[in-house]
Amino acid sequence: MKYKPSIVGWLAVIPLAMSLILVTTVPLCYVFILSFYRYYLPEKIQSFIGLLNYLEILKTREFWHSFSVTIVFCGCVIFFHLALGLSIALLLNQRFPGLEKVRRFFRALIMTPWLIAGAVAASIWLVLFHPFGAVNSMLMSSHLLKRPLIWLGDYRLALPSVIGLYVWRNLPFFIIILLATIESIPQELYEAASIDGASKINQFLYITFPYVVPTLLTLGMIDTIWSFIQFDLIFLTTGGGPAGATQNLPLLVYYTAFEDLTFGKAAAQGILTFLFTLTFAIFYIKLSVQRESE
Amino acid sequence: MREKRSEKIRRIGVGILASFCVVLFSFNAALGEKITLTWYEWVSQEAKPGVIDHMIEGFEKENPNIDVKRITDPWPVTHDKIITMWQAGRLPDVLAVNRNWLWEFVSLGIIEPLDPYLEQESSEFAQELKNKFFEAAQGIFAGKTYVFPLWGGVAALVYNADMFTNKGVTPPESLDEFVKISEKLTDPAKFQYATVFPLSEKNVAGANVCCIGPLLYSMGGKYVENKKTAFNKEPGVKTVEFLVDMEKKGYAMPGSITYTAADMRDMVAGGKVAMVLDGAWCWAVYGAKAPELNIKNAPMPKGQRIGTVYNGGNLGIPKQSRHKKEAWEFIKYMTSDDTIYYWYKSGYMPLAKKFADYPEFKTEYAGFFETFKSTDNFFQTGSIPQEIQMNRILVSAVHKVFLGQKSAREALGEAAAEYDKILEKAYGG
Repeated sequence: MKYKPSIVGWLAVIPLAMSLILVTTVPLCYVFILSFYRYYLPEKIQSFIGLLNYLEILKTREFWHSFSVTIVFCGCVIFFHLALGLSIALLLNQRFPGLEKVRRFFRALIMTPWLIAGAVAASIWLVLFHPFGAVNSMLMSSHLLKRPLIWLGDYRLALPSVIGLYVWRNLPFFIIILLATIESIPQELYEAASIDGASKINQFLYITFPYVVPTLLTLGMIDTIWSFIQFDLIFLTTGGGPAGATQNLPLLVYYTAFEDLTFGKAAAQGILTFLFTLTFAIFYIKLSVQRESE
Repeated sequence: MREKRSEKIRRIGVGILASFCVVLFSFNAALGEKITLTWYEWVSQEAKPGVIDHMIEGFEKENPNIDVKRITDPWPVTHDKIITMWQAGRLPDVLAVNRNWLWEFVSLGIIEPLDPYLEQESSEFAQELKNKFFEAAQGIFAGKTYVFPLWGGVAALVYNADMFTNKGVTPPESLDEFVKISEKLTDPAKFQYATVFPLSEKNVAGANVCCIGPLLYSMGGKYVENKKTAFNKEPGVKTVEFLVDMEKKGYAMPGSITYTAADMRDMVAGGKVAMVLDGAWCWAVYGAKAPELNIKNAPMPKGQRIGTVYNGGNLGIPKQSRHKKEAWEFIKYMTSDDTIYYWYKSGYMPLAKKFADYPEFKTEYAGFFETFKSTDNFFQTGSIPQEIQMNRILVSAVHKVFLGQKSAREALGEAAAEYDKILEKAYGG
């Protein structure tokens, strides 16, 4: 008995689809439902309160502070990831005669931060940025600093420090993707442009950049989602401090759940975080679709 | 035909025999099956290597049908993990419970009273066990016993005796002396400082029990009084100003608000810091990290009085435990005289009254015992489950003062207002 190809296809896909739905959608639905309840662990009875959790959260200064920290964090990391990623990818794409092995070595070396576990990366950063760590020592010995800076304990420096850590850790991913895109650009275009007298800058603006824009948009969307929900690096380095300077939305959700024991409120904060992330993702997708149709 | 029938009968017979053998084997296997008793703890990460394993081996020898499986994490994450495991219905058979989680865990119904287990023992044994430990160490809540202590103690002065000798100073008896000798003990050119305060938001409980709490009580203050916040009163303001001044003067390692209690111990072990306020609950850590250093303890320097905080780890049985009888046997073993003597010798302050007078412990823990006897201001807030929330509120307020965003009075006033709302909810006001 022969089955229709479509039936075979569905049968092959259904088990995986069910697993994905189970792992992603079911918990999301549970959290969504939980967000409408007053779920405070010391209380035995959890009651339905509708949108009260959301209204309460949106009125608190703490939530908007964490939201602003998240937006600043995301904006900065996306900018640096894309700008530095593209710059380094362009550099790695250059071929210098006699230095091919060096080029390959650096291409491998550049992956190192991405291979390190988050906890290890955070530990390295804590050591480097300790008041008496390598960074301060270098700056002080080159007379750029008179006294050590408290990188992770200064309200003005803590957020830039964790942004630096996150950018450093994930930059290799962006470099690799952008490098692959750049390498796929037909070389004949550059040859033709050279023959026509186009400068390197013009070649970049009119050949390279248009080619990488779709990749940049996709990477931007991915980075928005990843950086919006960034938790481990900030938790392990500053814990959200000093005085909440680095407390982003995921950390706020965590503390609301596990220290305040108000799971209903934490669920509502989580749903709001999800909605913000979804909004940005939809924006990027619309931008990409618009570009493609053009 | 006859042959087919006999073949059929033969096959049925073999089948029945095989089934019977399988059942018999399973039954035997079940009879001889070992129970795996799970124990979630963090102390093995702080104790000297091999000590906990030795104790578990002793228990397994006495109870050959029980295998103890230790699940361990660093202390700062254990509370949150326990809450997660509890929600998932996956708590272990035996739980290590930190002293300042006790009320929370009892209120949430995470752990169960141990009185029914005591009632099954002989009255002599039950009485002996109940009265074995100091009152502060006893895990009694609302008249019921929920946990028995394994390790703990009070916060006092921990110092590097060689650094003190080199600078010609002795352990300070008062907070004024603490400040005075700090000047001599500080040598920024050598990256050496008199002290360090662990005030990081990564470990707010440690910030309170190792730093804010002892100083607050020494200044004559309290966290809570008559169900209202009290840390914003004058002693609390003085405590925060003391911490900030020490760093401003350069006596405390810069960056107090970035260090955890673990960082503090590393700095002592690394010879970067001469003295700290730390608890007897982590005395073994110094021995493990820096056995070559001459680290000693002295009584908590007196402010208006000698004040301190009691903290420690205890053993309890979760309601979700799958092997409660075996868990109780484990607790009995871990609190037996031989076991706790070995445990105290490895670097933990005796909490059992009879061992406190042993000469080897009296010398080793002289400073902690002196502090313990001199005060009864032990616990942070009293019997409410929201103590953990409060730690963060207070530490965040202290950070604002360190960062120059607010004065101590303003920051503590705001924190008190927030704290009072929680107390109102907790006490049903």
